[in-house]
Amino acid sequence: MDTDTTSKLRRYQEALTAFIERTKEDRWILAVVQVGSLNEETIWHKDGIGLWIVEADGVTQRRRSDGEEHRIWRTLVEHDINMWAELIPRSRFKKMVEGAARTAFSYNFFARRFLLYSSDESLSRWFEEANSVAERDRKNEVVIMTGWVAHELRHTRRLLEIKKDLDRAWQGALGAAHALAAAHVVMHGEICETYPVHRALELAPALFAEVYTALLMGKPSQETLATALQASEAWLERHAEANLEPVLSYLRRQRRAVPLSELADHFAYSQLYPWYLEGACEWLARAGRLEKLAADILLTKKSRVHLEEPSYFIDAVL
Amino acid sequence: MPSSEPAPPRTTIEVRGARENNLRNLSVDIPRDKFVVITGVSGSGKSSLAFETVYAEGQRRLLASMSSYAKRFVSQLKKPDVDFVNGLSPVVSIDQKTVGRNPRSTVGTMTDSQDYLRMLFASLGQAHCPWCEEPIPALAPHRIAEHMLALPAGVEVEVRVPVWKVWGEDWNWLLDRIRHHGYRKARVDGKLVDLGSEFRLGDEGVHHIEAVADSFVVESGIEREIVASLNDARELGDGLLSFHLPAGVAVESRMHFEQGFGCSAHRIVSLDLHHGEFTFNDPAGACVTCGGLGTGKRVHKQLLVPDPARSLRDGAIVSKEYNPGNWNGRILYTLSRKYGFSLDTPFGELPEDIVTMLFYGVPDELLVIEVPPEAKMGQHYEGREMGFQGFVNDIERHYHWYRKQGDSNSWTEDLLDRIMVEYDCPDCKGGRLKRSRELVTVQGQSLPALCRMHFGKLLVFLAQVEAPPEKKEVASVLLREVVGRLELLSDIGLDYLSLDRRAGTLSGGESQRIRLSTQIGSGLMGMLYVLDEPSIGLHPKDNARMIATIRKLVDIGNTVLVVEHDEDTIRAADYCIEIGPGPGVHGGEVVATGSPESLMENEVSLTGAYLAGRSAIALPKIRRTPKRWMRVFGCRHNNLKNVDISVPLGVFTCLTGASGSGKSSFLHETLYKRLIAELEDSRVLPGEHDRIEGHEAIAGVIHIDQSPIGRSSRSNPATYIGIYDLIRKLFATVDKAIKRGYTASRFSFNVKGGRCEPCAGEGSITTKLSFMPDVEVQCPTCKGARFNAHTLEILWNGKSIADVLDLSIEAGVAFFEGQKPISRKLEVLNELGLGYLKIGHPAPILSGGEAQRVKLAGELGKVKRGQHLLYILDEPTTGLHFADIDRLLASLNGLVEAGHSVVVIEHNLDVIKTADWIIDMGPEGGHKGGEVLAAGRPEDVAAIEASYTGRFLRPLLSHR
Repeated sequence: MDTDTTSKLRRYQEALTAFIERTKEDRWILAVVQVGSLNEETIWHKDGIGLWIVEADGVTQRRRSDGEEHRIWRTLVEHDINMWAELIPRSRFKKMVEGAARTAFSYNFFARRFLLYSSDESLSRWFEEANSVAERDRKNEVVIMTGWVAHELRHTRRLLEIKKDLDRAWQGALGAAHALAAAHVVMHGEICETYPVHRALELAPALFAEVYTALLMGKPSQETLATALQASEAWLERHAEANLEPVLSYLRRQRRAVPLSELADHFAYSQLYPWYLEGACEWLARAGRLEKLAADILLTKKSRVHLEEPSYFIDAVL
Repeated sequence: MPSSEPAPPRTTIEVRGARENNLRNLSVDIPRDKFVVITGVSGSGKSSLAFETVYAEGQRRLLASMSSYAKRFVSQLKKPDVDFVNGLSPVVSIDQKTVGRNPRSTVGTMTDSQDYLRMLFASLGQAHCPWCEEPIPALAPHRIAEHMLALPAGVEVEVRVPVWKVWGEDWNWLLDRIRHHGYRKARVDGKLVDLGSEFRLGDEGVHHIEAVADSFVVESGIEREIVASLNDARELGDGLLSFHLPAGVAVESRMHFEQGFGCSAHRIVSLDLHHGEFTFNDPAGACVTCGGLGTGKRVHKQLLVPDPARSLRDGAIVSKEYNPGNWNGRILYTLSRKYGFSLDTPFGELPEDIVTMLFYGVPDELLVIEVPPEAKMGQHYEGREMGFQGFVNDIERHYHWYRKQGDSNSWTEDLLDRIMVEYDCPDCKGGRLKRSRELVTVQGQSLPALCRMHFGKLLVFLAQVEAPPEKKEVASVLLREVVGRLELLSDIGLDYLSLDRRAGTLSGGESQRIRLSTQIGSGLMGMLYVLDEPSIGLHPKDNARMIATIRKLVDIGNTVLVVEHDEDTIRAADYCIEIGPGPGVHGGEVVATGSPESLMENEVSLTGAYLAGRSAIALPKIRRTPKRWMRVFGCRHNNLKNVDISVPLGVFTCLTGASGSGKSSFLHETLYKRLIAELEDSRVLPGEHDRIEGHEAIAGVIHIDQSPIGRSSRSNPATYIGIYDLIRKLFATVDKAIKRGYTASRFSFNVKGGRCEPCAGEGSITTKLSFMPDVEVQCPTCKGARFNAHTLEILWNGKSIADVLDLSIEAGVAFFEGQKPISRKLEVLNELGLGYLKIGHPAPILSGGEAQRVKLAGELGKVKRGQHLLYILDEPTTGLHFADIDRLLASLNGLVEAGHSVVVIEHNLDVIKTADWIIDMGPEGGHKGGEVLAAGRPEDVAAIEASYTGRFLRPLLSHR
């Protein structure tokens, strides 16, 4: 670590401490949470400090510049260092922390957050609990990532085999590797602050050497790309059943062909949007894990003509 | 020098130079603050004066007085064709139009009684624990916070929200609901679970679930946080919360905290009650299962397969028609192959197990799709597997899903209406409120229970409601409002109704009386009320109460202007205005004015002649004897009390009885629908009854109601009774038309060619203006003729097609003499007293009574002998003057003479006395009705003391 970084880190920490001391005197401020790490690894790129400031309910002061947006941001300054603070009333903060259906957003949301100060004991306890990953959220997140991997791989395969465009296939394969890395890290119950591929390289060095490092090292060629894609597809084949379990178990319970719109409604509130679900189901259908059928749909309130949308069926016995 | 004396108050409403419709520059003074009746023969111009002149001008001036800003939000009105109307007050029209079909509109909401009752419940209601039903306190969040903060600092209080299973959803749905509200922890049967995990519950068993909403470590200064948290929790848990202390809290503190705070077993406390939580139109109060409608829908198998003679291939199952190119086709074909039945077998002949399989599926089996050989697409589905849960399950699941979306698709709504029937919501049992709200009681009764009571019983209950001293004042204000309204409704003869009665099921008369009582309840004075035949739908005994109500309105300082033919109402008026002398072009003038007595002395007044007895509807010389009988056993629809009713055939029968006594429930809902189901459309579901006998004698049933004959100005009597086609053909035979190659379609204003294009055959052009009323001007091209100049050049007997449409029906009879089919049908219309209408009279401006008579004319025009038909009519005398009733009776008797049967619901004693047979229902309305009081010839019924109709008939029959 060079001196500049060390002194920068020290300046930031001193500013933060001074800020907290001042904040403690305001009885309406219940807690301060640091967003993102302040360490040697991350300090080099920071121009300020991100904070959540939890205020008491009913004391929010809105400005014209806040517009209709319910989230309120204020930029403060301490020791010449800007503090980018989001002001959050206690009740909303509790919902943010407790909401079990947080999925992708919250994976990064609560990662590397540090409770710097709290005058509310119950709030400290929630925070502690929030930093544990809810299994249900983890599973939903894995569905999203796996769907993303499937989509990227299919697209890249086409670029490579039909279009024979090595450059774009190379970009696609790297994209698939990043998606796969995110899926892999989340599968392990971890949360990444920056690039998941670095953590994935530690978790599964052989796999990621093949699907990521090998692509970065050499020139894009048919062979390296085919090898990377094959390895990724093999990973998908191995993990899809487990990773897509929320979707499969819902379909199994239904014991009928479920239209995609209905499936999406079931997963509403969990950020499992229709396109993720479609990606996942399409892969499962191609892999013969479920049947793709169709169902009638009326597109508008006045429509009388039935169009069809995909519907998916899985035999409960399977 | 100007006088210092104030001008005397105006005592009349002066109408000068009224020319609306057929009014002939009419001028009249209408006394103010009096009960004024406008009468006259049908079509003489009564409504043109009352509604289209006086009411329209009053309304227009009221709107004109608004600011330009306010005018943007109301549609502007056209100035009626009148020189001036002086002395107008704010005017309210109470017509007979039934209120909307919105299922959320009830008698309670129409009268605002529901609003006061829910405020009463919010003020006086006693909440109960949903589990043990022990009374629990209802406290505001800040009071709960105070109570919590009275604990020693450092004690932790866990706040939980109890939740309950929703009908039709499993336990996991409930857990998801907790998750969606942002809570991660819950106690399931007391055990703490992390909902962030994949925790699931099986379908079996009953669970006690509470979401953990918050936990507070007591310290000073956290009151705001507690209040905010409790308010958040209110959204999930219907306003019920439970509060728990951990083990280890000092016994004294615990006792102090728990004493009187929640039920002893579950520690449940209710948050303060808010009136919004007692309305079924707010998600906070509405039953979650039915959304506050009180009903749900399920597939009715008879409606799903209306014609069992059809095969599956011919579309036996509604909405599951066989089409080889779509999913229905693939599924039906696959099922037929797998289970060995033919798609061509009539549905009614399919084995029972196949029908059950089609309706309820094969949950444990897999279908391997076989694509029909004739399919042009979908071959790629061949061999794919799927489950099949049956068409009934499919439709019902789709219905629940569709309802949850909260959106509507017109096609889906139509379909669901066609194949599903309503039933009481299994969750709220029709009460419309959440269970937790139903558990709030006042003097032991819940709000839905009160809404189910008929007004008589409800008034008795409300009279004994006692409020605690601190709430006495509030309660007395609320009770006064509700009781006042209910008393008015009872006085007006509606004591048999209840607040939960749906507005859409009220008759026109009932809804008119409800609105009338609302006006009286408003206590306004100086108003001008314009009423349209308030006696319609009223039994003579109820009519007296209606007249008393009108009198009440006048007594509190209002003017009531009533368009009426009813003798009792005319006699009760302070002042009468007779418009006439004849209908249509023969009317439009003031024939007589003055008190009813002065009218009786007036030689030119037709009304006076009837009132004085100089003219009368004669009793028939002989009464026909029923030839056969049709018997309906065990009628139980609505308030019918499991009665057997015999309807004579081959005679003219009147079905009589007090309002709400069950006449329509029997005639329309049971008999008519049963006959339709037997003879025409098996999808029609009749009201509940056991069986019918004797209907084999009937070849058809015709219901002539008062609904409009058309909603477009392009419909008119000529198009309805089918003479317009004949007239057009006649014009096409004119030499000039033949030479020009004009066919009959040239003489239609509906199609391009002969019509005036600038106005598209409307005859007028409407320009929409902001802040100003829409301006409708005569089409400058055709001058209102609706046809182009070339078409108008074709003359038949000296008249163009536009001239013919402008002819009165009466004149049309003479004009088309020799053109048998046309003149015969016009003659029938004329005989029914519609001679004053124009041949091209636009359908939307026909009254209900006129529309009914046009329909009757349509039927009379095609009467055939040798086929026994049953004609059903509902108050055909609506809108008819005494003088016109004779003609109507002649037509109805003509039908009987032609070998048919006629049954009418009627309150007009002049009609009842001429009937061959009377079926009198009652004795009262609603729960006090539903029985047959008397049946027989009028003389027999008059002899029965229990029959109100009999009592009123007696003096009329004694003239014989």
